[in-house]
Amino acid sequence: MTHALVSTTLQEYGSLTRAALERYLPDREPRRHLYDLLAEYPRRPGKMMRSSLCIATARAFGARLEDALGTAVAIELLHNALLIHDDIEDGSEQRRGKPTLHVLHGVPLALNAGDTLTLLSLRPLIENATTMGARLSLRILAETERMARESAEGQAMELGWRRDNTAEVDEAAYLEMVLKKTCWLATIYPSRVGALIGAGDGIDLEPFVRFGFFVGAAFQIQDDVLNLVGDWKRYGKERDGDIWEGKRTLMIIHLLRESTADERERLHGLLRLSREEKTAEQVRWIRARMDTYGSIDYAGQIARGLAGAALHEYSLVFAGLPASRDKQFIEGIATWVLDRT
Amino acid sequence: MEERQRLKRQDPDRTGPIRNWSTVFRNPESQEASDSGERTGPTESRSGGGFSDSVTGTVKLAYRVVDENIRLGQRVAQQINDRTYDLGTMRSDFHDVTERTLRSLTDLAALWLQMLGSLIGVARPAGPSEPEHTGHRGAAASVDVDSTQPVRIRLDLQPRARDAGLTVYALHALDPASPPLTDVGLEPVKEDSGVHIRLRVPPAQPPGQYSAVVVDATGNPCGTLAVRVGEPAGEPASTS
Repeated sequence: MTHALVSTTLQEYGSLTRAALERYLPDREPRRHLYDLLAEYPRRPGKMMRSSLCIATARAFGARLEDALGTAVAIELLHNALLIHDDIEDGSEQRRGKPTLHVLHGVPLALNAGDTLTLLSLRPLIENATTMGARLSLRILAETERMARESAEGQAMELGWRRDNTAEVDEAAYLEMVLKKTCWLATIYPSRVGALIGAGDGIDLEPFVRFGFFVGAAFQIQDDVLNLVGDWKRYGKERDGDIWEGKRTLMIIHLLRESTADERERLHGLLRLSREEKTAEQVRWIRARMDTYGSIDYAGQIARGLAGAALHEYSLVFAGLPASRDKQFIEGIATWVLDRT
Repeated sequence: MEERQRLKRQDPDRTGPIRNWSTVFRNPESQEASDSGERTGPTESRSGGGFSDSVTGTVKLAYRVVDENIRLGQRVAQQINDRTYDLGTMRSDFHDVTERTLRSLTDLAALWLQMLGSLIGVARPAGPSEPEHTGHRGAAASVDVDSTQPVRIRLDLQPRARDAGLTVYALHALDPASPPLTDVGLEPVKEDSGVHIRLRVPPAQPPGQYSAVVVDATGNPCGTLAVRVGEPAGEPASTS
């Protein structure tokens, strides 16, 4: 029931955000080399979880939907801009069921489109000043700066581990990377700016870091699990893509810890290889070891534990607010992230 | 009198402190067993306990990680809150924050300057004198719908919007494969301060939720229009 409400709300708020987002995608030249490219990802089907969480949090705190719409649009634009860059940095080939932007158009044009989309994401935030005043708009802009910094630091951690083939990635380091790389943009920032819009800048935002972190970490781990076992058509990314890319997922960390010394040595050797140097047989071997040691089950259990912590944090943050559909949606998100297939 | 033998603690194997987080919730011996090639099954991993111990340990670890991040944020917030927000400071802060955000994107100079200009134009002190908008739902509205499918319409407008030149663009579904509803219009009705909605739903329009933002004459959002198209029932269109 709650998850049906989550899906319905995602559809409703996602649809509104998509419609509002179109206004910020320039309809002018140069289309072929810039504006058609940067509109690609925002127009592909996505979950719209980030923007919906922002709108729902704002409304749960008493704001009108349209007060949060500009910020929701900014979140989607920035999210899509970062996806373009992430796909290049990760060497990813599929995004939302289609080839990635750099595969379609080459790295230089994709990079430039990502830069421009980042810049465009600031426009709705700046326009906030006309409707909600300079002080609140400044707070949101400052939140945006922190989120962007945290995301960049998280991405740097992960890219650095892969470049240096770091062996000593433990769970604390992994969780810190996920907190920065995933959670700040996916859940912490949307709920913090939503609360600012709804309650004003006097609200204490720290509890939203905990709530957003646990939801976002459960979301990321489930996303990594889906990369291995998900329905490719629904998931929209390459099966086993994270293994091909040498990502340090929770499953890889678990496998490195649980495997024998010989296996661990071979695994380190394979993780060092670039995508082009790996073979399908090597990827299958890593995947089979994960099954042997229960690494995927382990990650699933951890994701459920983190979702439980998210529900606890939800009860602390939102308990005092009147009952509403938006409040139900936010609560439902904590476990909905695990039900994706 | 028999002399008691002095108790002596065995020397530890380690030669320095263990600062590896992964051993906080795990017996280092299991690592040694693993290193020696001895396999442990998934349910016996970490501390010899089951998955539930792992989950407990990882959630505790997660709290430590996030609390450290919060402490870092508090230090940054302290620096921000120490600053005063008079008009001049706010203009300066807008420039400062925006400039840092855009530092790597200065090649798009025209748009950059345009944005800075708009910021300076709107920066003003916030306070109780700012108009407080109140939500307005259920404004008087008449509808003119042409559809072979059941349709439910919801219009949310800010009060001030009713007097402005309203524009609503195409209504989009979340699924990009569904074509948008493009034949839609909004007109203010001066006699009763209401709004007239005109909508045509093409035959065989995919059922679902379609939404659009209503903008005023200046292009600012001032409301939303949501249309739910139902499954064809062979009945004339109904509205609510």
